[in-house]
Amino acid sequence: MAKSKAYKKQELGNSQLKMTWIKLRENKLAVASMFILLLVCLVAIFAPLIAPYDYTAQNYDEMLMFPCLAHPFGTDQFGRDILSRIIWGSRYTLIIGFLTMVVSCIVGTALGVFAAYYPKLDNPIMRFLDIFSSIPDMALLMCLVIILGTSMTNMIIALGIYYVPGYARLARAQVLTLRDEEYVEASRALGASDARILLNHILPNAMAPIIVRFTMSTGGCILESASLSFIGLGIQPPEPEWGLMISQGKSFLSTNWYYSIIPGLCIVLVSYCLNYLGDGLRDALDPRLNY
Amino acid sequence: MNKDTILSVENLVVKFFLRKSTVEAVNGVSFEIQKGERVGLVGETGAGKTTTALSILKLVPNPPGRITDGNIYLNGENLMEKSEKDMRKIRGNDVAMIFQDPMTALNPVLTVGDQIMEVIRLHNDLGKFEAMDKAKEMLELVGIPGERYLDYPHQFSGGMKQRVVIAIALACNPKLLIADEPTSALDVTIQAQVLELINNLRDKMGMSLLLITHDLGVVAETCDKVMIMYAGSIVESGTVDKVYRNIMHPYTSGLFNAIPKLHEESDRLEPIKGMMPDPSDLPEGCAFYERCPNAVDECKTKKPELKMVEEDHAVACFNPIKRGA
Repeated sequence: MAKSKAYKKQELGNSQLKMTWIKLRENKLAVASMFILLLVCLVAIFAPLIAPYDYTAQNYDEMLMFPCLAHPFGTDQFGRDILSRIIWGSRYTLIIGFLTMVVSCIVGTALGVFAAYYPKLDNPIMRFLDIFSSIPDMALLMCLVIILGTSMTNMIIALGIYYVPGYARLARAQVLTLRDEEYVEASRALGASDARILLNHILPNAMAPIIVRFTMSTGGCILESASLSFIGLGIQPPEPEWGLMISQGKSFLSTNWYYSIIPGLCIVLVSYCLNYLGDGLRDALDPRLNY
Repeated sequence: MNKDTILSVENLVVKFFLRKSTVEAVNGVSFEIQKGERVGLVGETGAGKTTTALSILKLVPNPPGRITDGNIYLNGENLMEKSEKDMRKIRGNDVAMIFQDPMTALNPVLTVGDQIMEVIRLHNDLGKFEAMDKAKEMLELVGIPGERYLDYPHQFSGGMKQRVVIAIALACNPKLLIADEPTSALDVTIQAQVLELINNLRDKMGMSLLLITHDLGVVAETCDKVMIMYAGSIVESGTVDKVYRNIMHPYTSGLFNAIPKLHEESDRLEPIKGMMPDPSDLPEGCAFYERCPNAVDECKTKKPELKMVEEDHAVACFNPIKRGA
């Protein structure tokens, strides 16, 4: 114990986390994106406090109002305040987007890594996943949701399954090139177990494209869930999911453009921020870009 | 086998079973390494040097490779009977290996300190900070300032990376260090430094060394014993002194003739004619028969055995070169 005290902070150097933060800070776009995403998260958490109106409250005196002082984002065909609905909707969007991606990323990456590292598992795993990717996406999602039953949890599961093969392929391709690297062989020659080689040596080197895919497909995932909601298999009205709002506003596009455009812009904003943040994170996590 | 024998390889046979053919990479290799001894394993590309080294760690890629025959004793224990789990304890702890290319032998996303620490903590029950101390000690031992512990591999030059690789290999005081062409990827001045470092550390730590190379000069500088390998068999072996002074196998002689000599002026080097036989289709007799200037009829049908010709000098040849001839 006496020894451990001898190590001063400076001697230990900056931790990985701190180093990442220092490098991320240099990327202004990534930092801005991070703050916007944080803001969206805060909005989602404190929705009941922020929202000016009840998101279900209908008001037939104020149907389809253009943005004005009382309703900054206008109102929909039932006179519900769109701003409030956007604020409450951020909860659904964030939960669906992140949870789906986290689940499919973990499962897909694990499957891909095993498939590549253990040649015997390669064909069984990848051909099984090919079954899912051979079915058209909407048909697959609809089948899954109908089998599992309509609810938000089941929609997340269905979307998760839909995104697994992509991650698995990506991870497999990465690991296939990495597993023959000399440092992998070297650490095996030093007595490292398979688990250690995978976790310490292969995964960190394979992460970059997976992070990028994670952030790129979150936006797609939000839209995908909107499509499901649109055909009545996802979030059920009157819940204010952003994608659902776009499809509801579709029929008013020629007269009340803001109804669809505003939730659409919100999705675009979140996806962009995720992309920039992902891009910045990938660079910040790569020690080869240290200087 | 006496008490001081660290490693004893007996009749090792390694084959690679490919779809179309079977590659006979190592064909009945036997040798011993004593405590503290430095042994050089020389041969051209594809002679089976690296496969022999990987067999000692039981790391021959399987499939397609397999050790089909032979025994390997490390400190008197037969490695062929060890489970994968036991082998993991031996790798890095009793036997460590240095790979050819330091540029790729280090993980680019971990600090060098972490990579040294990893092997220390794999084999010793040490806390994080104790392991860190030891890792720094190892870095200083190979001539890199301890403060560079937190640097990543790309911040080092090639020669320094190879030093780090050596530090990792030696971190657990192995009894045997296998160096697989440790200097082939480095330029000549760095080569000399790295060899000197390996030599000094061997003296300090007293481990045995199996040096794989195709540079006869490196062997002369570094090793006590030398083994010349051709097409998966050892064709000549003995102490460096005896073998270099009294070359007996025509292949060894061919290798020496192919080295440019400083004191002789010549426009052309003298290569060994022909190519090494396809290891998936080895001839029945001596593998060197086709290229051998000394070949006799016997060579075509019978495989020569490695026989002692004088003390500490063995040759596998029916018609070896006579001294003075």
